[in-house]
Amino acid sequence: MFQYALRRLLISIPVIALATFIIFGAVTITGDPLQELRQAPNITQEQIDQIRESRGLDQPFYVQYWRWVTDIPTEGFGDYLISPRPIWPDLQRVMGNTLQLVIAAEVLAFVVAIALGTISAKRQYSVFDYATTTISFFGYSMPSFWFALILQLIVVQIFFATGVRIFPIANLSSADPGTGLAFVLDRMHHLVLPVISLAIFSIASYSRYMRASMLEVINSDYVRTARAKGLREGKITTRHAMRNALIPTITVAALSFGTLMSGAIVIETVFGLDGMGRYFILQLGRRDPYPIMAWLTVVAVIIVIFNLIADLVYGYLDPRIRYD
Amino acid sequence: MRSTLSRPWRWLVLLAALALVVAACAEDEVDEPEDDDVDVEEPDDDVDDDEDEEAAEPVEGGTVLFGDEQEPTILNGFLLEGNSLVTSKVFNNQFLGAHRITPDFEYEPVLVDGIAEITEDPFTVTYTIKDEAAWSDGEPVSPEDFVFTWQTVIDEDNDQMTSREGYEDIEDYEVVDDQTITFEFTQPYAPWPLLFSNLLPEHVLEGEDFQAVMNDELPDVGSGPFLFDSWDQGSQLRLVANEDYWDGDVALDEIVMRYVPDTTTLTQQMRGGEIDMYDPQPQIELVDQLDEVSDRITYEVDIGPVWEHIDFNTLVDGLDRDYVRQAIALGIDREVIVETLINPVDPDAVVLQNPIYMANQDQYEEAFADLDHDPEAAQALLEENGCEQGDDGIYECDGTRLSFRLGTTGGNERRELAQQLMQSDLADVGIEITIENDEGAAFFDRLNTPEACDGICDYDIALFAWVGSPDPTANRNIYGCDFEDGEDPEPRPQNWTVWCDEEASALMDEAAQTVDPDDQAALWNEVAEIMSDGVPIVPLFQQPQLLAWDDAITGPQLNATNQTQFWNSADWAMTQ
Amino acid sequence: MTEPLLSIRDLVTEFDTPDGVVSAVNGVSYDVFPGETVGVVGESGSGKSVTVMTVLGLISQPPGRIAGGEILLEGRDLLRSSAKEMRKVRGDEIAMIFQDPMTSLNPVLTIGDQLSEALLVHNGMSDSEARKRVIELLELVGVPNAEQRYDQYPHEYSGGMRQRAMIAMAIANQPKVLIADEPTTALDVTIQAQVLEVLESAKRETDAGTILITHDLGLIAEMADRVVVMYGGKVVEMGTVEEIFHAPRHPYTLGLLSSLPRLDVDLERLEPIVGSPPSLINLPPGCAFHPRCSLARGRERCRREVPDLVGVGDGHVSACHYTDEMAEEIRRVERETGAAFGAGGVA
Repeated sequence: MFQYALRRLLISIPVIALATFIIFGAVTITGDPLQELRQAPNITQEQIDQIRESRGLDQPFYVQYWRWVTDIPTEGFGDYLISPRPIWPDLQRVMGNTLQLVIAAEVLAFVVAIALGTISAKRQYSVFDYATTTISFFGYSMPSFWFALILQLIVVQIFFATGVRIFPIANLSSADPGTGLAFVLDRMHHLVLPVISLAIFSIASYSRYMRASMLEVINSDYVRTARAKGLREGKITTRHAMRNALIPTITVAALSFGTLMSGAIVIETVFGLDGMGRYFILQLGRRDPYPIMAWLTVVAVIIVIFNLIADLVYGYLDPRIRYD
Repeated sequence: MRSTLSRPWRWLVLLAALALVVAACAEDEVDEPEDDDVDVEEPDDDVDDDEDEEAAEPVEGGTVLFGDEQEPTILNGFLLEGNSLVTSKVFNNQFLGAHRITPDFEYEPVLVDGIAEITEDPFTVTYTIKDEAAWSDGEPVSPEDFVFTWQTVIDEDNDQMTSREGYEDIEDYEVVDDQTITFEFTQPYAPWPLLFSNLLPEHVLEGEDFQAVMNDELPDVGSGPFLFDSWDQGSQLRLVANEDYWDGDVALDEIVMRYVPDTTTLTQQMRGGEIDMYDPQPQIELVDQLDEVSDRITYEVDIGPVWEHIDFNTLVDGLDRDYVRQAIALGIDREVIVETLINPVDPDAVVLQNPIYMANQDQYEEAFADLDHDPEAAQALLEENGCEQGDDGIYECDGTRLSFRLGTTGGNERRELAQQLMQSDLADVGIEITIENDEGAAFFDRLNTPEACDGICDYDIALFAWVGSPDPTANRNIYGCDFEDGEDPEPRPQNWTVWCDEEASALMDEAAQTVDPDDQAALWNEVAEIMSDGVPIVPLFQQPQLLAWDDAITGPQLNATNQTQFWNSADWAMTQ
Repeated sequence: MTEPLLSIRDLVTEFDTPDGVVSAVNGVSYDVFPGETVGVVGESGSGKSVTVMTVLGLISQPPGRIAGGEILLEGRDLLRSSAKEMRKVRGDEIAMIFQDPMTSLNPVLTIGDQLSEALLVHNGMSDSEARKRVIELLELVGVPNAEQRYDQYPHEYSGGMRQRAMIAMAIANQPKVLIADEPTTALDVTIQAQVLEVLESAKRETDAGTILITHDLGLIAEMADRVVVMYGGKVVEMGTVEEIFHAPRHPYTLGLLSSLPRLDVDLERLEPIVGSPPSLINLPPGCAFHPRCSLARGRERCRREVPDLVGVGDGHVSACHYTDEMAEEIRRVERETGAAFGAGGVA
């Protein structure tokens, strides 16, 4: 298992390196980063030249790339182009917020989906099964922002009717969230609606996978053997069936985690959350290539990390693949 | 087993019905505003309390949550990245200036005892600081602060400074006494009331790196009613009351800016009481939603300084002829556009007939009224100049078919509707319009001077908006050209229409040096008249602005100028 | 005469399918006595597996349905037992060895874990005790390096070893009845012999009554004491292994034997049974075998009447209207194919 993990880890490194190269190339091609700056009325040509030199923008492509990439571990991602403020603290902040949102959504989705999928499979063709199938189709095809808006509307309507605000409909925290436990509870309170909105699609998708693989597993020979040994149904489901059925589901969940990270843009906008999606849109509008490259690199690393985790979990669950 | 086949269908229908019911229940409220309680404030009225209630008494204390779609990039209002309304909302609370702009586009003295005095020859401006004006740490506001502010602006090391205009014309100053200072200029500067609109504290900022010190926070010393407390970037910014405010008692404890980049969400937050105030771009549904909760929320709508217009690229074949541009102006029905797009939100909005002064300014004159909708006149004008209508109904003038692209920022519903109205109007007078839109920044990339575009810029007719200022001097750069003997006129940096009229440019330059407000207005209105003949642009309307607040707050008043809605935050209070 | 350990009486198991009702087990009765091996033989679809699955309660209802009969384990009717009681029986009193050990073992759990599980479900012992016992069992069935092999996964075992492990799992709790469903079918011929040895010693070890289900007559000859021949969901002949092999009294049994290649005799040709197994949804009227029967010769009785199992010797029963004509039929076959039944017949 250790060797398997090590091998997976080592392969990740060239993947990330390649990703940085592509990112740098793609962003550089889009044009001269100093164009925006030139429009500033009080910047002289000398100052522009000075910035060019200090950022190494007059160097050939490979030199620039090397410089940028080797700076990352030592200096973080450097500063924004126009104002000399470091990029990394901002990125760190938004990454933390988005991670909270996405991890909570993934965990919720995963737990609910596994339950739904398992029960659906065990009670195939029952009312429960058809109900969850239908709801899954809804969840899968519903645009997330529409669902988010509906949730907000419902909360506001409830407020009108009862005067009770069950959940806040925007922001990460209240104006005065307190510290320690109070802060955490306040944050959780604020994340309820966004997490639900984000999780719906995943619940729909993962539960279908779980149901399908559970069905396959339930009818397998080894489950029959387990039953023939006299095990209780519950034990058979959890120890024998689910453990096998989880494998494809976990793989899907871990792989989609990376896309969730960058894709929570809509949810973050609707709920006013200070996250990576919002940050990216903002920086795109400002056309500053440095935070954009930093963002892309961070997302690439996160995706690679979660694929790695997926591989490791997969390896743990399924001993057959550890020897690949 | 056969019966189970229909089961999923039954469930599907049931769930679909359920979803529709939920949606309908939620939507019902939105689609049926209560007619009996529509409480739209007239723009010029004072804020009324509800008629059936006693006027509520203001109390001490309280926090106002102000929701905003945009967040400052940096907090330093002087630098480029801080040159936005969003930053001003914060900055202006802490750093008062010599004067401020009222909702009526007038200047009011703030730190100074009466509007500053000027002399014409040489041009000087004298500020007499109020005796009681003081910083929150007790230091009195002094002439040193004025000097420091001026020096900071013209300091060449501060290359991020937004503009040095006016300040760079100051050649000398004299500190007359502890309260008085006179600045002498090399030439008259017409927008002088706008100078020193934020005064910097010398005793706090001396020696600091101006381009770094106020990026992420403001110092804890200020002259205004509120001081910066903390900034959770991406989430909120907190201002606390200046307990040592020199101009009276600040009733509120705090103002907290809550940043949510989505207007729909902000509106729901207002309705749900999660925020107390906000100033969104007013759309029709938004106003309806606020009307529904008129028992708890008050709002004001008025036309603001942001005005919409179409610009002609006068280098494009066809648009290089006056009569074509005039015909287009005559062809579009600006009144219908305003009726359709603006009046539902602001019933008092009118067509804007002047590119220099806004309709709610005293100096406003209807220079463009002779270009009101007159399709017959439009066609007559074209035919007079030798244009002939082709078989497809489109005119051809000397070999040029009158077909032009009309572009704007894509995704903006109101602008797209305006385009469609204009397109159909112009089709009726034999001019073909094709709509070609871009995303925000990409659209503005097309608009520039030929020098920057390396040739004729890639647009024909552009629909967009300028942010107006109480002082018209900046228009020199937009409509003026530099004329040198024997050479082609050079369009100024923002003259994207490349319309060069020697007389108009001369008048503009003269106005820039005219400090008497009435004389200045006369000159600029002359420019406006010339523009209504040359028609480089056609003004359409001013965008309405809206400020909404919870009834529990007294004091807020819509200020659509650059002074921002916080212009009178010292007067806000909660009521009980 | 001792009491039977397991007694299946008139068992009927059906399945509801969209195409109709499948009569998989259509009135099957046979007994298993302590220490003996009953070989159940028949083609695919004859109902031999479904019968034992019903015994163990592994038929899911729906779509299955036990429509009648009794299953008596030492006198207790298993069909009237609660689910909880059945769970106690499974793996403890009755244990089953399945056909394909690769798919019958959980690929993500170690062999040791799965075997320990069998012990722990039915016995209150600690994990380490179970581990010790499992290692003993693995050694018993001839798995080398049992100590290390405990922690290995099914895919790390060879085919033969996996089946040994399955056998170990089945005998772990000293079951009274051991059911082996095609235990060697999925294995190489060379491995088969080894596994059979293991099965033999497992039998001896536990003195269980064994049901050996197979379509391999050689296996039957080797290991069975008595033989049950099934066709179309019914028992068509039952007797001692000698009776069945030397003097079959049902044309189907004869057909099975005739289609076997032989080492001891020079056969001129094989005589297969024509046709294919019947549809269990639409069984032929009368005797289910009659469309393929060489003895029926189109006689009406075969088409009309379902033959009962009648005694034709001491404990030897057959379900054929013309069972008395079988001796002749045997001689016919001997003549035509060169086969030799009778004493010293099948190798």
